[in-house]
Amino acid sequence: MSSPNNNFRTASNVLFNELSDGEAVLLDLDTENYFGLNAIGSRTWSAIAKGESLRPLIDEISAATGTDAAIIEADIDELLATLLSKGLLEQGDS
Amino acid sequence: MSYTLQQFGGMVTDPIRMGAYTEALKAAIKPGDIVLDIGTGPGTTALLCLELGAGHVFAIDPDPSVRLAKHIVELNGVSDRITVIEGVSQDFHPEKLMDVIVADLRDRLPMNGPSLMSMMDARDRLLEPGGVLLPTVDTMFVAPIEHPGVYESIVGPWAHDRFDMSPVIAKVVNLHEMRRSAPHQQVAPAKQWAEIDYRTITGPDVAGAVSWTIEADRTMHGYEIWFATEVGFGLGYSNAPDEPELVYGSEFFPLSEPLTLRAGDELHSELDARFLKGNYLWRWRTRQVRGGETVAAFDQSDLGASLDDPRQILSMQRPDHRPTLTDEALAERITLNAFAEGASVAEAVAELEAAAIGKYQGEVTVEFVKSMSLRVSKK
Repeated sequence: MSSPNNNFRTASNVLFNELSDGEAVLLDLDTENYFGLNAIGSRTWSAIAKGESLRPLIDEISAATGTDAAIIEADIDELLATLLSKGLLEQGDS
Repeated sequence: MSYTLQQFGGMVTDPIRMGAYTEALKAAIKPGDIVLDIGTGPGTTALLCLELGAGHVFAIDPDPSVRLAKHIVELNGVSDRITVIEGVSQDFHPEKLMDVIVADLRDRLPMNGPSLMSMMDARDRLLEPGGVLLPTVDTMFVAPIEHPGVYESIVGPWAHDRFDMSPVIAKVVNLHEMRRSAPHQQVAPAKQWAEIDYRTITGPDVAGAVSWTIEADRTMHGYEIWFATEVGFGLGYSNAPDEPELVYGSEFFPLSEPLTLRAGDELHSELDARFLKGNYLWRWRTRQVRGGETVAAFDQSDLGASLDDPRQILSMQRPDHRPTLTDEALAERITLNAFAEGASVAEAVAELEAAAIGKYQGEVTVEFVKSMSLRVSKK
């Protein structure tokens, strides 16, 4: 999926609300379903919404947690795949 | 949303609004026509329709001010020709269809609670084929606005030197409000954002995208949206900043952060108003592009201002969730059961007292049961 390149865009039917603890919820306006995002998911979403590369975020998390960047990238890929499968993200021009 | 009597007063004394409606009604009403006035309030428009030759007027409004209209039509000796109904037009089932339907259900903008749903229902179900629906078209405009004073009033209280209050700023920039700026505060010329043609719309959602190429260096703090209307027969009015101020006002949508725009920058904006659970959920997205690169992007909405945690709501709506009732719900249940079995207010109070639930003792119980009676009794 190559997440650092970030060729994703947030779906137009999805609203984002960051909560007081840094986590966030997404509201799918078409189904009126809510989805929870943890703090890293929330930051990933924000980066995609701004059209930013995910590389700085991956590197930052890797440095802060001492985890190999490839593992972080795989985790974010998994998150992106889930968001895509739920129709919350779209693939295409950012 | 309903209006206060002062707001109704403002509407009927706004000479531009009232003038356009009066002239359009003059053109629309033929002698003997049956007219429906949706949102009649104290009944001014209904009386006007009668004066203009209507044979009968149905004047409808869910707002309690319509009770005054009942008295007013009697006072004016026309209770046989104006039927006043307290309720919503969706529940109105007349024997004959209407020749003319007139309404002004707008707030600052035409999307006001169920306003568009009411208009579509009236058009499809209550209007005689070939009948006249007023208003005809509302056109909405948007302009990017430079207004440091307004922006400061929104974020200033939370921009502390001593404490980091940024989570509050992240919320308050998602609150839109009534503002009216001057034409020189437009960073770029206003453009049409959306159009509501009441003759043809098929749904309540309103959305549109607008782009500008910035011509001079400016700072942008938000958007302002207003509408112009064609009431009918070429008659209308505009609430644009360079026109005389009307009773409606404009809506200001702040940006997450002020944008420093340079000549040549592109500004892409998408604004959506989606009808959800009886109200409009607004979303405004902004993208600033310089030399082909996105240099700033914001995605804002009413949801971004919410302090509720939807996860809690979600968990309480799960099919396997078993609710534990609050004291208030227990008190409501006992009171409702008592009423349903024919108890009087005093008898329901006695039953609730006997149940000994939390604060529901003495005067609190009496007031609670009285308010329940008011809420659930058939009028």
